[in-house]
Amino acid sequence: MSLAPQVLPWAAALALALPLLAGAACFVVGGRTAAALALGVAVLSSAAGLVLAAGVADGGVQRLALGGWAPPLGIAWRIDGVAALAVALTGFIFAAVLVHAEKSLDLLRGEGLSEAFRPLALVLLGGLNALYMANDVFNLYVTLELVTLAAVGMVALAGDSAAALRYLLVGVIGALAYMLGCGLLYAAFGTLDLDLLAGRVQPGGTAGAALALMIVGVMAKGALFPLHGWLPPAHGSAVAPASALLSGVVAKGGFYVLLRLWLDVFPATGAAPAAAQILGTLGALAVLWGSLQAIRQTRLKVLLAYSTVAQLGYLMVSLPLIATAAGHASGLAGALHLMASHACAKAAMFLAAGSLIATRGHDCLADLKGAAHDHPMTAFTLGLAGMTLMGLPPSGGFIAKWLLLDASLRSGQWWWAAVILGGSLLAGVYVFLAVSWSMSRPPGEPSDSQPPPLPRRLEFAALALALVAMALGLVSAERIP
Amino acid sequence: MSTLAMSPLATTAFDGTLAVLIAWTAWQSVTSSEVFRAVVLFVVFGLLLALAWLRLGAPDVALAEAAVGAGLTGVLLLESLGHLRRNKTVEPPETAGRGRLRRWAVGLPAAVAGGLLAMVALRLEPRTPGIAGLVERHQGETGVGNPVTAVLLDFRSADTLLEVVVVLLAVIATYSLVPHGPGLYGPTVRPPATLRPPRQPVLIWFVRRLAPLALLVGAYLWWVGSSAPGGAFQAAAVFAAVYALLRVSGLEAAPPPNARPLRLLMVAGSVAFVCQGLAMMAAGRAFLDLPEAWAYGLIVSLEAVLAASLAACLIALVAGAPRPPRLSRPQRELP
Amino acid sequence: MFIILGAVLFALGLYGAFARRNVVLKLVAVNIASSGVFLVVVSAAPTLPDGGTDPLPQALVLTGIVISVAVTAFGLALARRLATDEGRATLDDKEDSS
Repeated sequence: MSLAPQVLPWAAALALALPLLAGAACFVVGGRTAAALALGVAVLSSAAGLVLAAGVADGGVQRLALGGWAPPLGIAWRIDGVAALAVALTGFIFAAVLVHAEKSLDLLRGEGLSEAFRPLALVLLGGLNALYMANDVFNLYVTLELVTLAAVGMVALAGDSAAALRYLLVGVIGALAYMLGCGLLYAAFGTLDLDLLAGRVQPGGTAGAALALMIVGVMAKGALFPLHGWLPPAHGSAVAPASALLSGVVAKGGFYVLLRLWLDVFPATGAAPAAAQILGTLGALAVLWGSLQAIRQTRLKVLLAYSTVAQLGYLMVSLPLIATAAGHASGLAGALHLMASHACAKAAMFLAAGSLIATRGHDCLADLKGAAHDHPMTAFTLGLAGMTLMGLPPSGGFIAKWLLLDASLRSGQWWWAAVILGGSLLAGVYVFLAVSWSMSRPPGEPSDSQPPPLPRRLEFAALALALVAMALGLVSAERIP
Repeated sequence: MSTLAMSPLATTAFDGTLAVLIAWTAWQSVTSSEVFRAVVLFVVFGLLLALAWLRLGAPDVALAEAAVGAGLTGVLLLESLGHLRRNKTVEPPETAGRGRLRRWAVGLPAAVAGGLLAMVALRLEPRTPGIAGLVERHQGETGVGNPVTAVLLDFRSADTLLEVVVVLLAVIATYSLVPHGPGLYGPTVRPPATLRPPRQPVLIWFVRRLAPLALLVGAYLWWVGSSAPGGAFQAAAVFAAVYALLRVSGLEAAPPPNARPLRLLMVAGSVAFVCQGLAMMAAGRAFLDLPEAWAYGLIVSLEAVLAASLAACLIALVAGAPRPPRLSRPQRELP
Repeated sequence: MFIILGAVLFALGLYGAFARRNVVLKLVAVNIASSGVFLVVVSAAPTLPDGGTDPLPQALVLTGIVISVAVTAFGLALARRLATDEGRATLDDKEDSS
């Protein structure tokens, strides 16, 4: 079955337009109408992603000239399988988070917080969709700024202005480095389009410097080690649904751009092998440092935030694997699987943490005793999503790590395999810490201090995400080489 | 302007002096121990920089730098400074040894980064011509005479669309900073308390006469933007500056942040831009693809909406986040 | 000449953004650094055969200026909130080493 030719451009344009229009509407009107609108748009955005994926499966990679002007004069979107699935998955995660946020934010701090959350989330969704489809380095800059500003706004919702400001400042400085790189690329090669750049870039100091600037910029924005310092306070202090979006989805935005540059422009510079080893080493340090910090934490959300630093490290470790001929296919597939399954799993865990905060008022691990007894579904969600972080079969994380291991052995770089295995062991420790507290029995009989029951939809929203993280492993099990 | 007839030597001397002055004000601003002085120097820096943009043959950027970069940012900085002063917050003194260590630890890498950047930028290799030729060839199809406007509103309109959304998003994020009550961030919210300076008759007389003139300048900037330097953003910045003037002279209170008409005006720019793009698709074209016969009219009318809408957004940003009626310490947030 | 000025401003701004502790001063410094970036972006592009300036970098810089004013405005709103909530306008030493 093939799609009508007009369907694909419409799906792409609506993936950007609908969230932006709905975000504007939610700034003007509030209440139930706005809540329904936001949820509906997130679902539609996810559906648009599926349509795009069908279109790509049908007719291959699609290029859409925006404004009718082809590059280099205009800007094009490039919709490949990765972009289409990213749009679909992001819409789904946003839908689950919005369902959770409508209830949990108001439980937490009365009405109004969810109304401020909605327009920010919708504009963020539009910005992310534009980011996935963009194929122009400067257009990517604008989408990155949009995403960063919305993300900082979300951090600020919880009232921790210092964490938000630090995030904002690092983001702005990263953006400056990135924009400098864009300017140098244009001055030297006369275009900003990624496809054209791939053909025009020549090895040399200019290309190397421009790409170094851009990579440092996206590393700052994406909290890739060693520029990760702002992430744990920001993600740890934000309200839980915001943390779910930030850690689950936004944190991958920086690496997504890095990967686009890596695959399109980097091969032509001739600097890829050296850069890959440096970035891979930084990634290994991120895995180690993030995991050890996560183990030391006493609060669930901060633990999860450090775990994100570690998991982003795996993505960087995939770069030296992708850079080799033998490991390219498995390495890339592993990185993409890791992004998708970690997005769902981490969002699920933050939502589960949000559910616990909504009833207990805090997320101190030591005081979560008995949580599993009171809210078994939420504790189950934490454990299920934790399996993906550890990389246990049959989760999506298992497939991802298997692919990465395969790539490192194929390319003869066994030391990266050691990093991946070691990181999984450490992940096992911190996931155990996160889950075991809730499993342990409370000291006294809790009959008199029964916490209020959780609204069902809070628990289901988190569980749905954890189940998808697991399903990602099952549907792609045949990819195991 | 680049058209000014100057001998090469005079040009070089002028540019050199200008560059030194700009670098000096920047240095003073960055190292000033007093916050107010740093901000004033930054405004001077912006105005000098506008001159540099003229020398670089970029009058559109010069206008934007003067109106947005120096003017509006300066107003925003001064406005916040007033607020921060009232809260008795200053740059804390540092012990001499620690301050010196910090200066070196940050200064050296920054200097190295700047040096490397200059080296790379001065020795770009290769030098492929950009798209200026293409812009010239196709500019006729957009109907606008200013190539920069043609790039912004037609060739690369996708960037500009997202940029307009960024401005709206800044307002959304700023408004979300109010402690939250029921209804659109709460009917309990009132406009931020304006610092009411004593009414000064001379200032009021002056502002009353200046404001209409400035509004006219703003409207002119919008209109002329299609054929000469100018455009919606510069016009909006001038409108916002008029508002800031009215505010310091005590004539105008902050806009009520919950007023629905005002919020509608703020989102109008982004909504119109997106809807125009979708309408083109409905007419069988690509997203944001303007038909040649209509391009001029569509661009000019979109710029009119953008100018009004961006002005509303910028005014809201100057007025700042709304504050709750009682200025009490908000309860500490839950983890 | 303006390329060098741009690089100098970038370095000065970077220095200020990390060395200053007052948030308003940090934001001023970031704005100076972005002015430097904008100067480099426009003046690094090749001049046109007729001596004019390429319109594309100018358009990019205009977009950059508007984005930076929006970000600065939100940063200042956050600074005010920080001052209201916690009575300080600085980020702690330990925290801003990122």
